[in-house]
Amino acid sequence: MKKALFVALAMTLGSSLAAPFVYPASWTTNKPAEVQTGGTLRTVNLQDFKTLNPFVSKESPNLPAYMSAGGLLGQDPITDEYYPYMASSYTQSADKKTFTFNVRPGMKWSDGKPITADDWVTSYTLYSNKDIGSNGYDSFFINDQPIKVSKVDSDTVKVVFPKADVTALEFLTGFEPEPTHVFMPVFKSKGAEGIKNMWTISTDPKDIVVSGSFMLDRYQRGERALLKKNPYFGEWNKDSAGKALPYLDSVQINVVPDANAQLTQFLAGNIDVYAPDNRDKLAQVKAAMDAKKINGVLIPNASGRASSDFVVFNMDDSATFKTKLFSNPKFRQAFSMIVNRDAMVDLTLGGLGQPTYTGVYPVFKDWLATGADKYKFNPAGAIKLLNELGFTKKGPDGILVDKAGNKLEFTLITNAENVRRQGFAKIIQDEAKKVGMKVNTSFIAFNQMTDMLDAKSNFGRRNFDAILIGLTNGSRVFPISGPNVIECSGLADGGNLHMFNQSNKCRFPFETQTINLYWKGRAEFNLAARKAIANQIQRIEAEQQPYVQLAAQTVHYAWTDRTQGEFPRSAISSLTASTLYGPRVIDLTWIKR
Amino acid sequence: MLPYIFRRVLQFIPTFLLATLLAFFIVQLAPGDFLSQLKENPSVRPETVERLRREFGLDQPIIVQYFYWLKNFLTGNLGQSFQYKRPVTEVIGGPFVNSLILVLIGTILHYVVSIPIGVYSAVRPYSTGDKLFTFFSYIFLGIPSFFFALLVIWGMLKLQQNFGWDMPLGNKTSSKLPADLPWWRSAWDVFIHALAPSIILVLRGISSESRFLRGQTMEVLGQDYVRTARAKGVSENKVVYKHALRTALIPLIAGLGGLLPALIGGAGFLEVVFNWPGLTPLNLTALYNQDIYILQAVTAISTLLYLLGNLVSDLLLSVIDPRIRYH
Repeated sequence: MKKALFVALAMTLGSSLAAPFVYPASWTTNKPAEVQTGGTLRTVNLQDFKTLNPFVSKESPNLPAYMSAGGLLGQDPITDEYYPYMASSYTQSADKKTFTFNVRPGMKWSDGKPITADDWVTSYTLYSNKDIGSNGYDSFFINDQPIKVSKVDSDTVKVVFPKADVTALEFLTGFEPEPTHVFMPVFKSKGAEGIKNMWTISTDPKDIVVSGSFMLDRYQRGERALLKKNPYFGEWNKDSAGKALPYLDSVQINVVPDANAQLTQFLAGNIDVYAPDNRDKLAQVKAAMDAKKINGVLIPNASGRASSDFVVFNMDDSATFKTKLFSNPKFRQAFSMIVNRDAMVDLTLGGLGQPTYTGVYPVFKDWLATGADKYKFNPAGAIKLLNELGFTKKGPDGILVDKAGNKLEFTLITNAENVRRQGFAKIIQDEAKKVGMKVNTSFIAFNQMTDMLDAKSNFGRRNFDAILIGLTNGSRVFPISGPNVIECSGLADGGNLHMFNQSNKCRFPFETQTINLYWKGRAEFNLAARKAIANQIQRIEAEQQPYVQLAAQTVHYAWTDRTQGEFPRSAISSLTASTLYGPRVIDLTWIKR
Repeated sequence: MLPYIFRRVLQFIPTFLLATLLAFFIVQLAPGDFLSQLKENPSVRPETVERLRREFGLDQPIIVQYFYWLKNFLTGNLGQSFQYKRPVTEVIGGPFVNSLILVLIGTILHYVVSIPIGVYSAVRPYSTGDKLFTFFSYIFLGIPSFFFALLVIWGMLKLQQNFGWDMPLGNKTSSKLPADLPWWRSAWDVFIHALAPSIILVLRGISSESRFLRGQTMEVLGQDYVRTARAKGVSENKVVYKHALRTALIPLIAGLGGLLPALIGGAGFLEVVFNWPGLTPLNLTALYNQDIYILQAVTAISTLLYLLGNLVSDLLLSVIDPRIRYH
């Protein structure tokens, strides 16, 4: 590995003068010779963009991010490997804490000024400024310890992390330069307030300086954003045949705040890329394509979504009959065996989903542990385990009771706004009834539900039995539930999503075991070794069932025939696809005429 | 007349105060004010919350807060939008004008279409034309406008798919036209896009108003002075349009005051369905994000419009009805 890195380093050093970044041929289905340049990609966004200022933007997707080239590193959508992007090469110190980057020569801002090491220092200075209060502020810390960025010379940036941590790679892909010559004079004269008042949505596009392949041409409030090609981007970004990128002349982002109106725009052929988000919309797109009303490509069930749904029990203590029962892994295993995940996929998700067994979202195919489905749907197995727990007799109402006369009954809560979760809850209720377990369902407001999950002020027992909820997002470099989900003590600073136990004490050995493994994985830069650790964590999870996972929805992508340059099918997933552009790199996208 | 207008404007003050005060209370009654939301947002620091607190006096009782807001309102400061990080005046301008476009086209259509239909139906009651108008009136009165809008969009979509006609399928301007256009071309583009929502917006109004006018005109046409006019040999057109219609229109004019705000409110669903960047979509997003000063500004402006509309309709009444004189 080290030798390979050295060879790669030597090669890049050898050709370091004005070496552009070359997009690998594997990132698109098209050969460079087929490509036609020019044209406009028409896409759609669900809301009006609110600012052009990267430091005050709180929305997602946001325009500043779409007009930025990227960071010092990039992540390959095909191999998941990290590669130097705005750096021509880099070295990592022996303790894995210090990264030294050679800034790629020949990079320019959209106004023609060179991009230098200073621009990363500016970015660091402004993002980590408390008074500016940017959304990126927290990413400059790992466990409350700051990341330090400094300039070695005009071509070299040094980033020092407080500890060896693989999330450093993710940070570095998101660590983008900001134009020093634009922001620093304002910061020096007017301070944080000055920065916050810059680049509003009505600022003249000529004053907006960006690094990315597209820059703002004009913004029509409530209607659309028009982006045009940044002429300087092609000087340092080439396709595999050496042609300057991007291929497109412009991008049109239409603001259509209503999901049904978006579908209409795609069916009318007014937009080029679209992601149907439910069965009805998918069916309409398919019908229109089958009837040749629109010519295009539809990829249903491209991959799972990066989100989960699970049931969590209240295991704060073992003082009552119920909390004692919930704290027993055998009960949770039995519960997992009455969860009919296939029925959930078929009935609730209309076949557009897949069963899940661990906290790793199914879209991370390479990370899923085998054998995690040990407690899959198996009512006979559930009955056997419940018998072992002492529930051997059924009362006259058909509900199991133990020797002390305790009924096997509890309430499952989920949020009233979410039809999918309510469907899941109903299926659980039906299957539970068959084995003699009475599940009462209760649908309440989301905020009320999260209030119930939050820790009490003195970490006393919370007042619920079981809640059906989910998580979204997370890390791509180590896609295991993070510290706020697994930490069981010191909860004031984290572990706010450690939903099954908010007593601020680690009650079970598996909790500590998981935490230790997790931090070991975070310090492991070797991908295979990290995956092995993730496997271990998932095996504990599958055995202990702290969160009984249910099923995950899938994503679907559609685009018109004129839109070309998408990822190869195997790389199309919710992780690689862009919210606005779909499963493709915008710089390699082209329009067929 | 002028002293009358002056007195009326003076009377605005208590009405406006009461209406905005009520709105302010109701907005504040909603669970969780925007500050509690800000406190949970890690990217908003306590100092910022404190600064906002002081700026709008939010540490004060609600009634005092209301006067802070009023003071700011009177100096033209509508507060700061939290989503846009810009003054509300700047954020609300564009959507307000957009809503006004729909309402203006709608109002003109409303009168231009309903008055001739009403008169026609009154002059030729129970004719085939009258029956046809009655039939359509009941349909348009019965069908909810947003649902009708969806049907229209579906119809336009089918036309575009099957015949390749470029239909104005929502939004304010066409995405297919180049960005730099002569002003008349852009204005035409906006008009074309505004047409469908404006028509649907007033279909209901036209239906009820033309029925109403039909009844009024028929009643007036049967009165003594009309018979006298006819007996004097006044031409039929003059009888209908000068004598009868003028009297029949009085209740219609009286209703004008409520029309402006009602149309702005009513344009709401249609703005959402037709993806028209007007006040309602802005207001809905503001509600969702608890962007309180946008909500309050929209309420205040609607109230002002309502008051102004009433004044205008009263003045018009004095022009049209010889029995009314203002002093």
